Amino acid sequence: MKKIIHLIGILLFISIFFLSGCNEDNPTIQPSEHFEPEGWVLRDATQRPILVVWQGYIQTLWQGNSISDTLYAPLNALSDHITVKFLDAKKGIMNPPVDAEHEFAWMITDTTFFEIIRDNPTDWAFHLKGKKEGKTTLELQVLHLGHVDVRTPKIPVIIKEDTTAPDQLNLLHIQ
Amino acid sequence: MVICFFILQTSTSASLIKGDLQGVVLDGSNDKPLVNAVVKIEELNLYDIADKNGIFFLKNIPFGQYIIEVSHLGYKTIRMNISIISEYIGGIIIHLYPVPLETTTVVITGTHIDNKFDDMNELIGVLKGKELERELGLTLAATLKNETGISLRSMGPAPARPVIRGLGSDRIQITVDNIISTDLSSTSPDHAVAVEPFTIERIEVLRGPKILLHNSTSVGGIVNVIKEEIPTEIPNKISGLAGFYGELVNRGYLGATVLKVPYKKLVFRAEATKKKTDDVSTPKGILKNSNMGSSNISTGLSFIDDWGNTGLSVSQFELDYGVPGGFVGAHPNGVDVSILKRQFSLQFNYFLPFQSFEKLELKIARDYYRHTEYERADLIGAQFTIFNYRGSLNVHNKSFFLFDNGITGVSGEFRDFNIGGFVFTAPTKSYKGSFYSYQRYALGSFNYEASFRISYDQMNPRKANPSSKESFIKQRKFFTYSLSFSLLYRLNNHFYIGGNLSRTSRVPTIEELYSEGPHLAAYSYEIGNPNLQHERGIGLELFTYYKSENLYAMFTAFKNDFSYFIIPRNSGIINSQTLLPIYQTVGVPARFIGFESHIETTIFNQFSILCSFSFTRANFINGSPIPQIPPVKVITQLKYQNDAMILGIENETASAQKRVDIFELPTAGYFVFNAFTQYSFFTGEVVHNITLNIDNIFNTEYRNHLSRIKVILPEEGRNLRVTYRIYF
Repeated sequence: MKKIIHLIGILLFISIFFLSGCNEDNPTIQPSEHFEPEGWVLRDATQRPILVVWQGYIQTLWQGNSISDTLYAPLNALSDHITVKFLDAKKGIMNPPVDAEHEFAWMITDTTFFEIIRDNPTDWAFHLKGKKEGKTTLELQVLHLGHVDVRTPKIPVIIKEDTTAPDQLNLLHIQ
Repeated sequence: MVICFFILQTSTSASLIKGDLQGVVLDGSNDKPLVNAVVKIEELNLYDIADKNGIFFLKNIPFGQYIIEVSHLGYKTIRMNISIISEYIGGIIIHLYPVPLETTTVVITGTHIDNKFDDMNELIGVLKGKELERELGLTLAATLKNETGISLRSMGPAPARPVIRGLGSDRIQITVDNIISTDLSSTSPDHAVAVEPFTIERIEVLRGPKILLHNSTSVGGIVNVIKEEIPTEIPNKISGLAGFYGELVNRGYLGATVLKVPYKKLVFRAEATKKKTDDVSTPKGILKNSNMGSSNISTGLSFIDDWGNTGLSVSQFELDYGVPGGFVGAHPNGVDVSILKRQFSLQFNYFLPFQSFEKLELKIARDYYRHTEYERADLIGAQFTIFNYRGSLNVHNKSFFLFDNGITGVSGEFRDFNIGGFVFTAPTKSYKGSFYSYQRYALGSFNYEASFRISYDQMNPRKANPSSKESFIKQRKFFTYSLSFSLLYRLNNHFYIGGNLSRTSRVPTIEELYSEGPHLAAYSYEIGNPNLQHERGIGLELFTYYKSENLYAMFTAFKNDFSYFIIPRNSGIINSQTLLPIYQTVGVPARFIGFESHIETTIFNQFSILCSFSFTRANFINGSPIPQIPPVKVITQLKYQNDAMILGIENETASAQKRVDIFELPTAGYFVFNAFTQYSFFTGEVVHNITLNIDNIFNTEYRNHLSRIKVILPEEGRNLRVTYRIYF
């Protein structure tokens, strides 16, 4: 019996040795706060909403007025300066996140039709510039450390020649 | 190798000086007679050869103590002591087991009252020996997929897990040497089981009251893998195995070795395996990102003496695998997963000096588990770590109160579940304590088994979050109980009928309670429910089995009524931020009914036929189908076997599964043909076993209803598998 007690003692000692090891420093990186707006508002240079997404759906009616469900890109010209804002659960305007973890990103279904030009790489604003006439789609995203926190549904984009542009100015008419 | 024999002791007669010895030698893996087995009394150089029924008869043996040697090609030779102390000793049953297995020798003296439940389970719920070598796949689930009532849930070759009678998740517990294996395989289809199957000695699929020794889901199942990482017997020399496995469908290969070294009363065991596969080939093309690679090492040391044994083991399992993507329900580009598991186990068995209590059994295990999902090489999508401490103390009783034998014990567990990356589930510490007992009793033609388990569970999320979108993330406590009772009645020496009645319970998992966010690998937005109750229901099962020399048949019908069944359901709603489909965990009434049969018969001396049938139907209370329920499956096998070789062909047939939940796709039925051959030979004391399998001979395009990959590609195409093992 004495031997058994000694044996148990030795095993417990060994157990404590192993139980205190066999692991790494906790490698999990705790996620920081996610940006979770309920909607998107794209506004032109006059602050007028030109496209609204609410809870994952592109709106055709906003605050009692009809609104386009499509963006237009002028062929071989820059569009108006489009700014990105967000909507909270009460449909109030939210500014984009300002921390370094979040960034503005997009995905164009067919990049031969148009491109996105930004005046400043950190701006939550952009221009559309048409490459050839036609139709494709655009998805806007808020990236959080490389992951998509928020995305829009695929927004139709029509690329056509801007017949309303004065002279050679690269301005865009957005209906 | 398992050596198991039963000696029926007869009364002593002092007036006689010579006696006769008669018995039967059976194949321990299928209970069939071993023709030409040699039974020899070494001291007298007296021997007999077993006849076509496996029966041997040794006459005129002088009274005394002798060593009997029983041998047969392809089976481990056994030696045992026997006393010739009466005129006639009969009814000896000697089981020889195919060489691969080596577990405890069991010697039972007295009346032959071995439990019929074990007998029945041994025939249908155990995979061992050559059958195990034949079915061996790259994962535990793939190894078990042809067993009656078992199907395979998968999302690529690596993340596969067994489903029993339509029940998955942690209703099916995976244990290694009776200790629950820590991993996340039960929580999501893209998570793999952290067990290397190649070095397994035996797999037991436990059902019925015995489940409650480990788990409170009495209508589910336990897949218990026997590896003997802590040896419980001393081999008489250095022994072990070395093996190679390869398959063409993914250009995969595996090398493994197991070594057991005895030194006086100490036994040292070491194991190492290394595995690598490329992407899987299907009849419609290559399944991209379905590769895997793993390594596994373990060492164990035990001290074995008359009073019992004690030992410890340390193991590490690493697995890197791809989860295919690019379809609904998966990440667009696929995900790479890396798993690391380290385990330390301690075991102590002490034979008690009491008439009613025979053994005290203590098990302690400490696991560290890390699971990382990469969206790109530099972008971690999800991280999980688990620090798990668990222990159990069991007392094995013999004749006690009304019972013949049983086990009573307590167990405790602490789990620290950390979550990182782009995962929204709350990190949680959980505690569990259980008290349980399993007892059995035989009376005349009746055999009874009964068990209960009472558990307390507490889950403490690191941060209570009253502002959570779904509900208040808060501490939860659960008191649960489960009961199970089985009865088996012997109609005659071959024919038995029985039934099982169970009350099952299951505490919701951390994910089911607290998930709240996108799951990138499954490409869904998963929402738990912090207000879930515990899952519960009543299970009823009726079964009958017939066992004779040339025929084994089993029929089972079951009905599991859950008053509260926990399941994540596609809500049909899209999360407005991520635009992912929302899967919401709910608790709803549900009913599972089914039927299984398993028939094996010898048609000529060396030919046998096997046929198994599995059917499950599951509905929500409103009659709509529960998702992810396997279709009807029939396995038919024709086998030729002689002393050294086995040849066989096999057909797997599944019906179409059209009973699907909303947002779930139906699956067509299929016929798949396989063939196999196994050959054994000796060089000196080394046994060589070679197994060749050709799966899906006709390169049939078929899909597994429980596979998420089915929406893009079918199951594996034609495949050649080779297993070569040497035992020394």
